[in-house]
Amino acid sequence: MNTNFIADYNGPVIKVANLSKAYSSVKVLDLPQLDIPRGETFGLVGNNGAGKTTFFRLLLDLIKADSGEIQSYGQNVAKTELWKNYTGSYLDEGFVIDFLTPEEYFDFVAALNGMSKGDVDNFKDRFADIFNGEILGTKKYIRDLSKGNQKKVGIAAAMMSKPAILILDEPFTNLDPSSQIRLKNMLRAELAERDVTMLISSHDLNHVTEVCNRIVVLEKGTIVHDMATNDSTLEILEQYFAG
Amino acid sequence: MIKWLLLIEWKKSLRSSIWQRNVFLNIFLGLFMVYMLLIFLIMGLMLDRMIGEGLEIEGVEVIRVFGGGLLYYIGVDLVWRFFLQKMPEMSARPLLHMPIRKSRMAGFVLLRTLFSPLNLLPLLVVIPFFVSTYSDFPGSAAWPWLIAILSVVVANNFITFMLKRYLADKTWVLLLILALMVLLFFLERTGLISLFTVSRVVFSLLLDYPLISVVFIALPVLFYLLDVKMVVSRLYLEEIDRRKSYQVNAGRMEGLRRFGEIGELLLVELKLMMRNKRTRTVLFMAPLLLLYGFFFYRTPMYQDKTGWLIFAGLFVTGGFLISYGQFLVAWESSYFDTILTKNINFSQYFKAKYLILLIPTVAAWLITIPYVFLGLNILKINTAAFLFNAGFNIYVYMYFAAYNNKRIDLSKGGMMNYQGVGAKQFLVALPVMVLPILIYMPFGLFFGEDTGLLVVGGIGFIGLLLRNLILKQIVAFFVTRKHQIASGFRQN
Repeated sequence: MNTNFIADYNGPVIKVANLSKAYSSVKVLDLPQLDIPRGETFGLVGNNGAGKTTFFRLLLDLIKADSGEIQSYGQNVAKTELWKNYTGSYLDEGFVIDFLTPEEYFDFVAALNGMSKGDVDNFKDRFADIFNGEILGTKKYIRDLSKGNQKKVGIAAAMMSKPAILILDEPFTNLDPSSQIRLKNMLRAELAERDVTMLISSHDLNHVTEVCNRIVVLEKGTIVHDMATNDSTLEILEQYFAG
Repeated sequence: MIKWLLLIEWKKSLRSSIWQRNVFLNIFLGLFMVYMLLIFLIMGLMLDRMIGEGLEIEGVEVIRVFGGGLLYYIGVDLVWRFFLQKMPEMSARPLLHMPIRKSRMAGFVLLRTLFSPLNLLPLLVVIPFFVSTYSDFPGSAAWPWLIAILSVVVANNFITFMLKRYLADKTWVLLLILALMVLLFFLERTGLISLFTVSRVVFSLLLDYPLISVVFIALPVLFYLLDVKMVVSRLYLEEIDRRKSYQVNAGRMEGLRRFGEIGELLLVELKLMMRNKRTRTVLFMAPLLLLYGFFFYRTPMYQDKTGWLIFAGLFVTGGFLISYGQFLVAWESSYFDTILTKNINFSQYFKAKYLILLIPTVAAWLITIPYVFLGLNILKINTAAFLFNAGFNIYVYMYFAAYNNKRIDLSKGGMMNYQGVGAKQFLVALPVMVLPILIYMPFGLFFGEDTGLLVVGGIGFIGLLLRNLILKQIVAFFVTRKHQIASGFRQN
């Protein structure tokens, strides 16, 4: 499918307007306006129930907004499916097919994105560090892997086609310390190498401030802080969450 | 101690998800249970007379003839228990770290199995039979006989526990059972070995020498002790949690990848079917429906009732379509978000679904062509039913997929598994099963059988021709419903 239009696109990659979502008349998300420019690493933090996952699900057209819309490269995500060509995402276990082996799943995703065998080999090399020999060639189904390794499969599959937009919900949870650091380095390397916009939510304030250049704090569905990351960000966040 | 364990069990069943499934289904299942109980009770009450009139053997008393069927009964009971009886999954996991003796836990688990309706059904037959023939028993043989028979029932219960542990999930078991059935039928028919006679002689001994019943009483005790031993040796976390990690060699299937996106989707769906318990049950049961025709087509009662035979034809050629199609898309409930967010085109996705349903339906029709030996009209009926399945019913199931928003748990076996079943599954049977017969009726009555079949088949044929148009409509409708479906799947 033709995705050339994103190369020439100017303006915010993600543009949110008047977005709201309520469950049984309790508002879980209310975003009058939010723009995410190209190349930004957008960090979303907030306690449970703040609306992080709801926002990501709306972004991926997994749930219907009560009002408003989200544009991805100028296209309403609920109206067209163009975004599927250039968006990689991993929110939860529902994003992997667990009765496949990791290899089979990667092959499936590769085929959907028209990747060649060379691309797939290349991808496996890139992720060798993170996989740490526990994912590939184990002859196990994904469902028989540990929680952390299942998550690695999901994240890797989201990143494998080098998408222009990458959406990860709490990517560091459940990973062992080494993997957390390796993933962090990997995300940074991606940013340095190519044109990618990332949206990452996390409960780990350290990681998210290290990776992201903008942090948005959600509380009960509304934005309470929106700041560019600098030396004092972590402190501000800690203060906010302590109080 | 036992009191506490019982209390926990009681709460567990009170809070079970059974009560949360819809009322309609519970009523249906309740009626079904009552129906089964009644059937067995009536059988028990009539058995005396039925044997006296139908199976009379010169110079042999009714109770001895009854004994002839007992070995068969034991076999059938084991088979049907093997497939239907739910063994209490080890609810022991949270208790393992507590100060409860393992043998006691095992005993508790085993005693619970006795409270299965499958233990009640044989009693409903045996006890009325016993009462009505009481006076025919020689000397003091009556009560020992009854106790022996009941011991066999209990022994079967404990044997099943063991069989399920060792043989569940083994695919060859079904084939073995089928082969045994054919073999026994053959032996009995040709008179080489009559299990019936063997059984009659064995159980006659029981009547002549009542003391033998001690041997029978020993059976349940023996199997109970063996079971306890087995359970105790397996009361470890890794045994309870163990999931067999069997690697299916997907070798040949990988060839599908050549067909692009549709091939990829088909490949994933085939793996879905082969690697999950619930779908595997469907895969093994569907071929059995091919045999359904033997019962139906050969019953004289239905011989010239073509309307009924269409019903059979729909089952015979649509076994897979019905059993797999009813949960179309819902099979993928655990990873439906993947389908929605990855680069998958819905029209390709539905074309893959179409092929998944169409290919086995065509195969079923081809396999059932030999039914022509039962009469040319059977072939006509099967063909009309096949066309209707392929050109109409497939679309019904695909259309209804947009209403399948209940999550399906793939890891539990499919026999008598009603998880995920809703009123929709019954509702969908109306257009699929009843409509073709309603269509047939007026044409069949006024213009003859062939015309009726031609109309039913013709509708299917037209549907086959219009598939691109219809699929497009189905996809468009599905897309409007995808949010509801996805949100249903996310709720357990």
